[in-house]
Amino acid sequence: MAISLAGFGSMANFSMRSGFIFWRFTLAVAIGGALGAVLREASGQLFLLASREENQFVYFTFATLTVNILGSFGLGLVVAKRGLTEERLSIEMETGFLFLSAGVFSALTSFSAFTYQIVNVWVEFQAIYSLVYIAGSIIFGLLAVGCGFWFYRWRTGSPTA
Amino acid sequence: MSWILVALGGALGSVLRFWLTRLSAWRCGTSMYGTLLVNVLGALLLGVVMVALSFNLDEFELAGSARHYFSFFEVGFLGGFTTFATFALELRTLLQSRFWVAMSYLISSVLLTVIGLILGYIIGGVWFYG
Repeated sequence: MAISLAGFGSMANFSMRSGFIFWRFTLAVAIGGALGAVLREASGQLFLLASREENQFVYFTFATLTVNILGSFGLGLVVAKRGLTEERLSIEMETGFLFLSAGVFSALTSFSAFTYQIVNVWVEFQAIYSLVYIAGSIIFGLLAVGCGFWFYRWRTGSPTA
Repeated sequence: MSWILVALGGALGSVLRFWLTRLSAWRCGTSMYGTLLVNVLGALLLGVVMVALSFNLDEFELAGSARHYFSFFEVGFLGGFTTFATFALELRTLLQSRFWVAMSYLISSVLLTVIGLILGYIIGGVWFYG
């Protein structure tokens, strides 16, 4: 079970051994995370601009859904490019992969905002809507990851992931 | 200013998440436990931070810094700390091989984060409002 259940499991020992590589990866993730967080805030502001005073709350719910789906798609794309393989890439490629996967796309998406929306929809509207919101987020998130994989295969014709 | 705080918080949260998921992948062979821990912890902290902000809101607004606290802690740090994309990727990978593990991961993620958020509200309420 070398591949591990998750996309990031495979390079586990790669970074922990050498201090230099570890900090290099950490820096890449930090910069990517900053970028992802700013992008998420920017998209939230865009949704806020489109909303009116009385329905801001609904727009914010859809903003969270949108960034989660976009981020899932991006992560699927990047992981498809790397391939869920055990083999080690060059340090430059690995840094780039972590910048995008653990940095930008993971920070772009947010589970805490998702949870906040679940509870908020439950309180403000009805329980059934928050269940619909959960189901929609999960299903579209999974589809987005799959679309990322599929899109990469389609563009390159290579049978990865 | 608030954009810089969002970026700083996002960088800090992302690095902490990266270390935790990496540790989990290294020790347990899968980043699943790390992601679950990060998401539940993030929801719990979100609850506490929201109550803390609302408790101090008057004071912060007077100082003009309420927006800054919100940007750094909630949008930046907690938003960067927790992640939906990794969760979706792990779920999809699991669904192909171990359906019931995937289902329990999905249900425990959603349930535990919601419980974590509510627990955070309660902890914050007791802490700040007594």
